[in-house]
Amino acid sequence: MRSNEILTILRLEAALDQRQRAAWGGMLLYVVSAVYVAYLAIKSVQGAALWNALFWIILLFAAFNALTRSFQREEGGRQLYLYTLVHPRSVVLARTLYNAFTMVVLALLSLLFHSLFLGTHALSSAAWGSFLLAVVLGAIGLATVLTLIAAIAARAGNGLGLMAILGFPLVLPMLLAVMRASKLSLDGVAWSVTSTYLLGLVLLNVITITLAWTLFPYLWRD
Amino acid sequence: MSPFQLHTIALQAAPSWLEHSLHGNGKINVVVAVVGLIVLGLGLWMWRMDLRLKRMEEQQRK
Amino acid sequence: MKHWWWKIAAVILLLAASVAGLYVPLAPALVHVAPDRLGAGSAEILVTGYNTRFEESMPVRFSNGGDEFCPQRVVVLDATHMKLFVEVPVGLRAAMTDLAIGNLSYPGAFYSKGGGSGFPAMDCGDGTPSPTVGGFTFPNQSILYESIRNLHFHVPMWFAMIALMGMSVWHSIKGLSGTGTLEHDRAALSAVEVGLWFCALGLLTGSLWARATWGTFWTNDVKLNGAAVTALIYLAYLVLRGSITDPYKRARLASIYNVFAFALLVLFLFVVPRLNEIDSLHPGNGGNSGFNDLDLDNRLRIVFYPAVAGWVLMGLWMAQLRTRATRLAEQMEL
Repeated sequence: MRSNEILTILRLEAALDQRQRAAWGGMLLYVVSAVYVAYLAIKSVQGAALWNALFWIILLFAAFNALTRSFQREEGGRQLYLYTLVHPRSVVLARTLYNAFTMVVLALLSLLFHSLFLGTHALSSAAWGSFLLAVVLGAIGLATVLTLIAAIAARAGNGLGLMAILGFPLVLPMLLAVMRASKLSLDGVAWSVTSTYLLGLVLLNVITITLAWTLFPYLWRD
Repeated sequence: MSPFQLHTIALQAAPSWLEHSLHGNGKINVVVAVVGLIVLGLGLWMWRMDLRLKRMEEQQRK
Repeated sequence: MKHWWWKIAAVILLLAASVAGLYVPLAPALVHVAPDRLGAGSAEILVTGYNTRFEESMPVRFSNGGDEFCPQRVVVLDATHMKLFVEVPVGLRAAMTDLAIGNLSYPGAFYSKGGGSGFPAMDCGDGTPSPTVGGFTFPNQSILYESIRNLHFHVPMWFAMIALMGMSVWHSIKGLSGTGTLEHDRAALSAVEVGLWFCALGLLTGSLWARATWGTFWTNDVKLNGAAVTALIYLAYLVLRGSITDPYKRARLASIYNVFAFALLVLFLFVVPRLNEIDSLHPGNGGNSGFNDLDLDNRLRIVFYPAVAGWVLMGLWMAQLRTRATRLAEQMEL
């Protein structure tokens, strides 16, 4: 595993995504339509609790939708080719990084649409620094957990269905912690309180990445 | 919800047949039900194991 | 052959813990007073005890905001019922009144109808010390009463489940890192299947106990959410296995998922609850009095730990039986 391997794979991913802009468009459209459905259902959201819950639920499903495809390109020959070129740990680290980047962008865009459609009333007393940090850490968390799950689901030869079944219970710890942290930030709770949760999130992320890094080589062995 | 609130809710609710049967005899009936459930669960497990073995025995005879 | 000593240990431990868990009496306690509302003037109060041996020589004390008063006459109806005839002083405060009979106390036994500002202490005499109910007893907690015995039946289900899932992960790691992949995979699968069985039993017994104690079958509680997530994770494990046909590939993918899931599950069960100060009704969480704080906790522990050990060993035994049955079945189909 070398850092330039990771860089190469990252560049490759970016190039592939450039070629398939429709994929990014699809993800964005998914978020926009989900937020719009929520808007049609409940017009303007007043309470921070509901606003927060809707935001994370929509982001959760968007994450499943976006990350399922991250290992589906590797069907057949291409995986074997990658296997001979680079260490599997470089692949999983690069994928996790790229997915984390994707999810952060998606989360911020989703935040934008969310405030546009569902109103900014819930944000009026928010502690912005810790709220944005919670959103970013939560997006990274979703990406780190779901990357390995996506790899397992892809190897099992089953797409979104298996991914949702496998991933949902595993995402819950992360999701509960991040929903709590972002709710507290929306309520404008002091940094000394929210920082505990954010630290916990960072810790969860680190552990998850370590696990993925340890386990992934076994997944690629055939 | 605090345990105290829940407790008062439990007290306020009209006693159903279930409450009646669970609360009797200093709540020993709950213990009887719990132990009964566990024994039933173990019995069901044994039953399934029995079925598995029977299937294997039949296959062996063939 | 000394391989079966632990199976004998399982049976002996379970037998001892179950018999003790059902047989040990509950500590005596005062459980009910009628009426439960005191005001100045004469009152006639019926006290109900549990496992008590009431005697007329027992000293009876009412305590209201630090001031004590005592009944004029005590009539013992039987070992668990006692009638108190009392002249409640005029200065009764609005605070709740505690009742003590012998060495048994019932804090907050009476609501107050008074609004006074205290009264001179009454000379109640010493009374003869109460006969202590000796022997080994379980603590008598209000709301729980006899159902405290469920500690020795319901809680070990969860301990056995976690032990089985841990066993399963150990086999998964062994299977990933060395030879005998299929053999380890079989053992991991058996442990999960038996563990899910214990999970189901834990959920059923737990919701029954919750109904009797808290009034609902299901509450939003950290422990309950943990149980639900555990069930979901391992059902997903079974679905994952079901969707792969090649046994080696199935063993590898399932093992990877198992290790990943167990690590996150441990975080969810033991770390996230400490991070969130979520209200929990279970002992030891969210400001509720924990197992450690029970006044006679060691008496419970002495039965509880053998029960846990017995159920864990029983679970391992069941998992072993399943592994052996599966192995035979697979050999016969070849």
